[in-house]
Amino acid sequence: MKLAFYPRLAFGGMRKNGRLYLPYIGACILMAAVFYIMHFLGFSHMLEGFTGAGTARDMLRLGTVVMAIFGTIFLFYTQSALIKGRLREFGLYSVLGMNRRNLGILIFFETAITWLIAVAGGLAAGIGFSKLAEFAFRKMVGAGAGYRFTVHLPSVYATVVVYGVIFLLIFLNAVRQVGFSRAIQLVNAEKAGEKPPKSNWFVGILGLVILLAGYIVALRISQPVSALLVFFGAVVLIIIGTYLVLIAGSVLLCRILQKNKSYYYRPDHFVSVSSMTYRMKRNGAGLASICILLTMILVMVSSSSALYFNCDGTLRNTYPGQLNCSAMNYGYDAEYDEIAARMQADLLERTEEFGAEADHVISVSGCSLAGYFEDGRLRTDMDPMSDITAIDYDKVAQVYFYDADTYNRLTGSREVLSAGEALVGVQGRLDFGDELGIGGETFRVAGRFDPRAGDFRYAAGSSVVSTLFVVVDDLDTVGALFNGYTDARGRQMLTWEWHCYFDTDLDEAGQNELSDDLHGRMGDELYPRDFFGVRCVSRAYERTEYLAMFGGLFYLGILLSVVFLVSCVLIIYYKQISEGFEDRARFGIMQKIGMTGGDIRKSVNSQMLTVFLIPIVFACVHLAVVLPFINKILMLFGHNDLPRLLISAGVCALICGIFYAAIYKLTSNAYYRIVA
Amino acid sequence: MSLLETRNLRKVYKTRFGGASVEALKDVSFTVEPGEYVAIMGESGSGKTTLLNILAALDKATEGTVILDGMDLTGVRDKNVAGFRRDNLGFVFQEFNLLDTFSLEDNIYLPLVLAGKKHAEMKGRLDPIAADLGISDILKKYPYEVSGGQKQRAAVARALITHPKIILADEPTGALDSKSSDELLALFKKVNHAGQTILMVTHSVKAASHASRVLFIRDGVIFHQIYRGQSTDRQMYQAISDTLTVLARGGGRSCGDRTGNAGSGNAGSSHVSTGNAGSGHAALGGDRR
Repeated sequence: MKLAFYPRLAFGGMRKNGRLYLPYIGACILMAAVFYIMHFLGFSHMLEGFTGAGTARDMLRLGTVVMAIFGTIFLFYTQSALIKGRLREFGLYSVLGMNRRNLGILIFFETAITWLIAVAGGLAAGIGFSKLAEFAFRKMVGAGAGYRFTVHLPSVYATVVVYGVIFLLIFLNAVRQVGFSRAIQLVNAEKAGEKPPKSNWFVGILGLVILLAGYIVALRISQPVSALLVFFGAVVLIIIGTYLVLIAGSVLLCRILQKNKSYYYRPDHFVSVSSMTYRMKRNGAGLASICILLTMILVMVSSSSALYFNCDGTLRNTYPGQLNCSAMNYGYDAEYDEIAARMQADLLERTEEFGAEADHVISVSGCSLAGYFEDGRLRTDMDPMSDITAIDYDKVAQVYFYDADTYNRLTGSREVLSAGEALVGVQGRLDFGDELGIGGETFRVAGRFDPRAGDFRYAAGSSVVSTLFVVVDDLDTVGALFNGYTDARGRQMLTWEWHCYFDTDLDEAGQNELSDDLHGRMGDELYPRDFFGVRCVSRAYERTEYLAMFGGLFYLGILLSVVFLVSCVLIIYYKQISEGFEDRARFGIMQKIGMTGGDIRKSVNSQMLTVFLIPIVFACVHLAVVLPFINKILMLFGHNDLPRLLISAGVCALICGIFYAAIYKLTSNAYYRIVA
Repeated sequence: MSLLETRNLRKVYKTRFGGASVEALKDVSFTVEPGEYVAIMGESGSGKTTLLNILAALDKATEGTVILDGMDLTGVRDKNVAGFRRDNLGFVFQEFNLLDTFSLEDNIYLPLVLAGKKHAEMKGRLDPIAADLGISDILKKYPYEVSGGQKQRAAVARALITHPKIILADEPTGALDSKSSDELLALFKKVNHAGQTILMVTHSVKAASHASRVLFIRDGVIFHQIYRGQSTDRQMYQAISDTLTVLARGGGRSCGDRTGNAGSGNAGSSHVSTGNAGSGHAALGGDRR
């Protein structure tokens, strides 16, 4: 037979089965497009240049891998279902005289055509979509110069290669299905029954254990920066657990439901549970992938929307005044406070010269010390390099010292303390009794206070590590006690810092100009005296920066979510529809035996609901588990508002749910029309 | 009072583009009495499957009525038809039509589950039936694990478990080997003796020879019928064969009388109805008019 004959035969065969092949090829294109976009965002330089891009990129790279695995599993199963439906046709070819080699070549051409269309269409769609996204991005955020979408060749190669491998696997599987059977088996293939899947207790329980372990690890993390690795471990555990639970656990669940006779033998459960048992074996992996993707959507959108919509709150946390000046130095010297006071007077004078009136002036100065909090005492003798394995990051803590005058000024109270006494405010999980040890010294706890009350919150700020606020009678004592402390590398541990915040009656441009002016002034004065961290920041200026950054992240979140969600949902839709064609004969039999239209509706609804609910319920649980960690990650951005994060997460889950419900209705109607 | 009565059934199929129409049933009238075991014979295309589909309410007649136990099937609303079928009819198909996702037990339970019965009640009904049919040991197996004969017995159990008014069987032995066929036919006979009304469509002479009455259908009309009377299966077999021979020679309806007489002679004491109006059905339907 001439070789040119095969492509034509292959193409004809696919066209004749268009009802099944069109959506299949559509799904292939979509998945290739999503893969391209994710790979492109994760591996190109597009995301470089704004803060937070690192996390987003890590997530996207993980997403790329999930997408590849998902694509393989999904297309693999879809294709084998397609081939199964066509075995009769191949059997006929075989009867008419084609040998295995001929059939192999035929299948090869079919797969190659599909691959070509999928990759070409996917790349075109992916590139087109990224162009469209670029346009929308510029419209939305306005600051688009840094985010150029272009054709990224490595992503193109990756798409071609990954999908090449997927289709190679598909081809081999199809050859296995067709090649190893006799002609007559092929002709009768559709009638052959399928073994009911065995429930695998071991894998199911193992999956549950792994999943729970992942949850526990994720929930126990209290310190986000250094525990990032631990968190990724937890994520990997959760992902593996999800796959195992949905693959083996779901079959197990169906089996358990079947054992429960009063549940199983009911018109709406009977048919759906028994067919789910078969379905879950094939769909478990797909549902798990969808669940992981949904979780990623929820995490991305809820965190980025919380950042975006709470931008002003975050700004106020980090920059309490319109203008924010600060400086630091090592150790403590009474001279520092004098310099700071002179500096402040100078700045306010300067502001007045500028033609502005300073308002709400708050200035705070104090000393800080970091260490390892254990048994009511802050240890300062730990070497983070040599003791790294012994360090429990929950116990890393920071101590701020303020004198009673500062405390009284900020809170409006009149506390008088004697030497060796301290008022203590705690942020985080630190336990101590009536005495508080810091290094080799011990303070008697005279009272406790809430560090977030009154103007003191400006001193407290927001920190990811646990913090102690210790108010003493005089900072000179602190200097005398701790000036000699050095860390493992010989650096002085005690740090003095000064902050001054104030508002003006200037417009935003004026505030920016003033902050530049004041910053120059401070630099001239303080740098020669070995101060560091000298800053004067205008909140208005930072606001545009924040908006660009958070807006960018939020946009990215939405973009990816739309891509994820649409692909997830289309995949479920396609899957259900193709299963509808498989189920048709079965429902036909049941109608003959006396299943009414209403019974079919009920059974279809119950089946759909399970298929649709499993991923979103799991995703919501995953989200709930990682939210505390996300909250802490957001603190790194200065976002310290758990209720708002919870609201964001709730709204995101709700929107996903509504979208999902609509698709659910659509799918179950389409399925019903097919089987009834 | 008869259990099932059809009057002047006519069924016309139109091809999709409104071209030639095919008259599958022309004018079919007959009755089935409670406890009867009726076989309908005919060649492929004679209209017997169309007739069965109409009796099963799977299809609607173009004209005429079907009355089951005083209820007019043509009057049952579309939405209630499936429920009607479930509550009143039992089915046995050539291809068994067992669901491969269910164990045999669950397959048998299916109509009862759809009717909303409790598991304890279903179990109570199944146990004696399964014991009767000799499938108690294989109830937990899946259809692909058992032989054709066992599948068909499970299908019979599924038909019996609803205590239907009538069992409709469509070529029940068609997919079985001869041993399984014999077993199944013996089973039908046993069930019939216990009082179950059975209506079976077949073109197997052997299957039909177990029935208490055989109707012959050709070209959409009831052509002839044979009553068993006191005759044995062998005699019945012979009578049916002879009728079929005449049928195969292409005798018209008017020849039916003579065929019928010949059949009656050979079947010995069997009572053969020979309508004087030239058709078997007239003997049944005529006296009612």
